[in-house]
Amino acid sequence: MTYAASPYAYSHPNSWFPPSYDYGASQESSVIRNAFTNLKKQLNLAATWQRKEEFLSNTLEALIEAIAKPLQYEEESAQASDYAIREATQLLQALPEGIPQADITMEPSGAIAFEWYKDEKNTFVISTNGTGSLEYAAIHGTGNEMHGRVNFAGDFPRTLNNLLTAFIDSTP
Amino acid sequence: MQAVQNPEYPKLSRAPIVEGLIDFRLRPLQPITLEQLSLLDAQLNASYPIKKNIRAIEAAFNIEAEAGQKVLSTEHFIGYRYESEETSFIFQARVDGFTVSRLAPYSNWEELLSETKRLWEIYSATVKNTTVVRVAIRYINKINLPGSAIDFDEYLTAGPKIPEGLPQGLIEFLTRTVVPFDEYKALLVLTQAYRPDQSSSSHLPVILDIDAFHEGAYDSVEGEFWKILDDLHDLKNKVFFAAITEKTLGLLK
Repeated sequence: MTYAASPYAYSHPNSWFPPSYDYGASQESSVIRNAFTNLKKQLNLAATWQRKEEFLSNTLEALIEAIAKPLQYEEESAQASDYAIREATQLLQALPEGIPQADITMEPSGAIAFEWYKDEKNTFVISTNGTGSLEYAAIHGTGNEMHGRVNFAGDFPRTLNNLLTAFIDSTP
Repeated sequence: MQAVQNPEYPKLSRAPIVEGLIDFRLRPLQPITLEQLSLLDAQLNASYPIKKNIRAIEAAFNIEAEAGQKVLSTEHFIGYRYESEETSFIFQARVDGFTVSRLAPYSNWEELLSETKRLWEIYSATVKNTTVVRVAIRYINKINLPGSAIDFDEYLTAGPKIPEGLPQGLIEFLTRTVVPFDEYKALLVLTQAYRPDQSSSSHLPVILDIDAFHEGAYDSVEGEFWKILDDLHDLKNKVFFAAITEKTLGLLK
């Protein structure tokens, strides 16, 4: 019997490009990589999948806009490094299904922040600075605050998966 | 068909491994730069004389240039790929991690592990102050099934399935299953694939790709993660022999 194990107990493996797949060196690893790439292209012919790609495309555009803004005020804030930009892109691609688009802003340190805002007592922020870890902070109702840092290697971390999903699903 | 029953993992004289790799993902204290990685050249030149750039394929960043604004580059070089003279070993030194691959002809786990340890000592001494946050092994097997029209169930214990009542012939398949192994504190991605453009009249090549990984936080010097690699290797063997039948084992012994 095959059954579905709870996905929330584990980090969410990136569905289409698991980290290891990118770094195989053999011809056969290319076969696997290309098979998933072609599969993704075929799925994108369907409107359902196009919506996901459109969502990702919109979010990436928002990311580009956010990182371009501080260029106008260089003396006040650091620019996002190539590492931070790459990590932010990976984070967007790793977000689980059903997570709405975040507001994306630059922090003075050069980190890139993703904010989901419901009201002043319900806010969730994840930021990345390109060093392989994500910092998060959340207010989820009066007196319920949390913050921390988790490692990020391409798969959406289990801790954040649980917290963010619960935050999104809850009503303020 | 039943999986291979022998719990002692029989020796295979015709092991189907086309690539075995060990991969570490890192969380450095400061971002690792390409300039740092270039320092590896001098230490690797003799054993890995071929060097290539590794380019990350990212979404394009095109910002409309206005007066005074910088246009961001769309290319990311994230490291270097070093190849041994015989191209049996390939070492990838990246800003986010480290991968050592052994291509065919694969000899044994001890050889791959030993070379990985040697290269890790060089890499970690160069980049310094990193935490290992993910360790993985991945074994890609290509099994040539004899004949031109076969029943995959005779060779794979969890092969592709077509609903009953439909034509049972297929011309390609790709399956991917992600399984948690709590006792190993690992996730395992099992991918099975067959594509007709690789087949010949005498055999059908099936790819059995086993990728096992564990996430945590380990000091790069103390090296607790080496024991985890041994555990992942054991898990890989368990899964491989569970995925093939006795008939397939007969082809490989």
